[in-house]
Amino acid sequence: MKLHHLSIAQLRAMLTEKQISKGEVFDYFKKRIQKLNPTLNAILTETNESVETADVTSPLYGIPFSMKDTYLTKGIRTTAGSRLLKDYIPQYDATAYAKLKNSGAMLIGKTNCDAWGHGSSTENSDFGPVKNPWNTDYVAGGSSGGSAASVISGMSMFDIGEDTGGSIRLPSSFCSTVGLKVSYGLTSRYGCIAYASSLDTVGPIGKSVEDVAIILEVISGNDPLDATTIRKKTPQYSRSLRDERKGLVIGLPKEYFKNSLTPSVAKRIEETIQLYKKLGVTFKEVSLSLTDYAIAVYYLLATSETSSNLARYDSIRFGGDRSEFGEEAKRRMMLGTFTLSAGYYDAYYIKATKVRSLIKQEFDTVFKEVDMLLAPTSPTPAFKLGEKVNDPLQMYLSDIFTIPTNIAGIPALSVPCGLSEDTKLPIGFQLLGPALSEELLLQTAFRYENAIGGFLKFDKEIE
Amino acid sequence: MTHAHKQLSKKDIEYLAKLLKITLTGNEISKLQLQLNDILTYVEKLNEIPTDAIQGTTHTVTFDTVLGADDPKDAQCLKDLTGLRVTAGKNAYFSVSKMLKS
Amino acid sequence: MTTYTPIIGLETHVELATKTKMFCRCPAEYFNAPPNTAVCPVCLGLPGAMPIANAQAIEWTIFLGIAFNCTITMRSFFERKHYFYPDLPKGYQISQYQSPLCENGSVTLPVSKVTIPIRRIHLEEDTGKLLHGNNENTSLIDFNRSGVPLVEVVTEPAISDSRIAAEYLQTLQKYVQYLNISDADMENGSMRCEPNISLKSSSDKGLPGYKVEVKNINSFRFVRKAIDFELERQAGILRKGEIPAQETRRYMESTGSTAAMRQKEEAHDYRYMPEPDIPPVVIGEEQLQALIKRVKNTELPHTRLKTLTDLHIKQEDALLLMDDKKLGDYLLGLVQLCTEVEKKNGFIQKLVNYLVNKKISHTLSKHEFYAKATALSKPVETDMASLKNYIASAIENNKGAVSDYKSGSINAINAVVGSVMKESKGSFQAKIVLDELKKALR
Repeated sequence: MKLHHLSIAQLRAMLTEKQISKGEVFDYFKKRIQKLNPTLNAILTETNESVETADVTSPLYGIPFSMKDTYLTKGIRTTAGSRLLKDYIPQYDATAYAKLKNSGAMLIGKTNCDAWGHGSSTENSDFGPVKNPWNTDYVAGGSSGGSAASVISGMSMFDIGEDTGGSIRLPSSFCSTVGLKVSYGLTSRYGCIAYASSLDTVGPIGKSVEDVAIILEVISGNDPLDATTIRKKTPQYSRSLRDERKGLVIGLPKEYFKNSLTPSVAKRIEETIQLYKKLGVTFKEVSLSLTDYAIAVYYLLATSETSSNLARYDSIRFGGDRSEFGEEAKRRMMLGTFTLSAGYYDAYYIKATKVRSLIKQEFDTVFKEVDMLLAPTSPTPAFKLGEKVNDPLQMYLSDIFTIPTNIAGIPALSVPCGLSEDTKLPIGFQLLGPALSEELLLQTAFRYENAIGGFLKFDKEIE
Repeated sequence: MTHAHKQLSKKDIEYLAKLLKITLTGNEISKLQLQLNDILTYVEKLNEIPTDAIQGTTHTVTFDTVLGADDPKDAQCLKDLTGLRVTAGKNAYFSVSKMLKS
Repeated sequence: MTTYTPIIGLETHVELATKTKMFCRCPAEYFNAPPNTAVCPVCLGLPGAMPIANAQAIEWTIFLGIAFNCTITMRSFFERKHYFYPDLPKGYQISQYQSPLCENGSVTLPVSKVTIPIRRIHLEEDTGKLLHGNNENTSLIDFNRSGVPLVEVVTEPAISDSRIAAEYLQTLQKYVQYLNISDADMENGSMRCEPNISLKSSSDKGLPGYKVEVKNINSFRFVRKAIDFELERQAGILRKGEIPAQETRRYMESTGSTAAMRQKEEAHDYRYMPEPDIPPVVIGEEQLQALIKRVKNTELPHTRLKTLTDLHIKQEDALLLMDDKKLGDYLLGLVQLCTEVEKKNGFIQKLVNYLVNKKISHTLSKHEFYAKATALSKPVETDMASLKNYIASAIENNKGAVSDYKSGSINAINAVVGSVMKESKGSFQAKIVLDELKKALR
């Protein structure tokens, strides 16, 4: 039985009905890791089956999961993909990890990522890049590349990634998983190694929309240890999943549909739109004129914040020396420090925060006309390993469709919509909604998933 | 921005590296100079947007003031410093070579 | 002839006596704790940790601002101040730059009556402590102090001499103690002061083009010495036609002088950035009014001074009792026990005298103190019958001295007085003995 093809609900049912034990499930996924990870390099640290603490009625009882290696897991090595932390064993648990443990889920591994979250392909990982399971000559996307690769190839049932400029959505679209960038503040960042504190979000990567909804229920909500978390009570996302909003209007932002879209991507997105039309959804063309400026804003604000967040790595209390920072980290820190430096702060940092306000306002205005937006997650499917490493600016431009949502703090859900005709690599579309509209986004994606009879299962043999 | 388009000199790169406490080789300095100046040229496009009347924001979510009550029962004190670079023995200290201080 | 005017500003850090630290709930009382036992991911700067601001610290900072007539910032935020130092675990200190909690206030000094303008009062966190290691090349770090709340009070550079500077510091200390927000002890580091000193030449149009900051001062006396030394040193340089270097100097207790610090001046580009993990601190109008009311109902040094002065005691005693709040509290408690007559007939000054001179201990209960004071200040009733007996006995036993006295040797009586005192073991006042003896020998 291919357990890794089951949904969380199906696997839980087997466990509840005692058709299989927790230990057997864990062993199954362990074996898949042994078989696939040497090639894919998705998992940096494997963990053992944990001591039983939650009971069988817990929402994620017995479900093996992985976490991007930016989440602190007490006693279990956490590297952030950097050799500076290659021997770091944390002293406490990230809140997201603690919540998942309490819900019965079992950590099976920490997943590979671009060091410090800096990247769109995991080629900036100090532990080697993650290979795309669909074709190992290609990247898995980044920075949560290991997360998406682990989930789709069946090494874990779900993963918790981290999205600052597209780092959950891009790998999800490249690997054919469902990846949710939540509204800023919906989930706790306590214990997540910070990249850019005003942009970072903690979110789930799963094989189906329902799986993502179940995980979101567990990890969302206020945390007294994170002052930027939401105060309101969060909804039960899996309960309302089957609701259908009547008269749904989805906007198509024209700036996301320019000629720069790869034809194979354009084709799949068009098919998606047609399918939604058959389901009774109305589409409307809208404009987000500031889209092209979002990358510039991001690369001033995110780098400023990361140059600050990485200042604590001074090798005194833990970790390696600052000379162990890689090229990309150095580049971003230098740019960030410049942005904050005396004489340039107003012209660069303040300017970027102003354009940020405008980008948010623009989304707010558009959401008055439409319920949500639909767009490709990436202009292209996965690119080849090595293709963009020598041109940092080109690499940064891969995030063009994902960055604006982080700038605005709004949620976006990346959903698989098939493989590219020529290279047979996954393509994803994203649904962008107003702040705290995760329920509606999940419902809308769920309708699509049902209509197509479920997403592609990964069945390839990996050498 | 009212100043001329900024491009970083080698001295600028060295200054930034010093602020960041990272050492760069001559090659790295040259490479970074090229790459960062490319990026700075790219971000100049933000000047196309008039923002004099705009209030900048560090977050786009409105927060309530969130403060902690002055209560030690909420402490997350570490009982155990395993995994951190402390001296062995009864008293746990972190240490640093005096040369590093300056 | 050029004259020089001192331009002195004081920057003071006061450690707040909150129970927990500024951005985490580790205990803030670090004095006797073994090293690195009151630490958590936040104050140790571990990866992934996040700050939660201490509500009490913010409230107490606003109290001080209200007491100093400051404008309270209704929407303020924290900022990161970046620099590297081993005692600064995050590589930045969370502080305030653009929006201090309190601004533009003033405080009038009780003795000199000078009003010192306060530029700003803001909140930040303290660093860890560096200690000497076992060998010459290592320093040890204890992070127990890392994250303890510090209030920074900055005056305008409007202080004109070291005496005023010292009085200002003492006044600041008193205010903080009266508000009960810190013990503000310069010796144990809960109050730290760094003067900024320069001299304005009479020929200068604007402010001087330099200023010297002095660190490592841990008493009011040393503040005066450091300032006086600096003023002399700088005048000497200016007279030569040179300008003193803009620098940070270290006060040396052993010589009473200042010395340039050995470390190279670091590039002071702190790259302040708004703290993204802490939402802005917004204070509502009602909230502010409630805080103002609480400060109004708190006794402050100047209101205590007025209360004491209204008792018509000596000014120097009033100042002393204002200075020592506990002693002042005690005296006011004693005054409560006094009758209306006692309040008017100078008995209160007597209480003050006994208290200040330690003739009666303030460790006694107020009732006991009052009783003893009453007894001491009553005119002593002499047991005349008993005295007459002693006198009769002494006259019998000192016939020689009595005879000399009656013959005109006036001082001979002293021996007899002495005899009475000795035999009675000093139960009578000497003057009364003398008077009665004289009567008896007439």
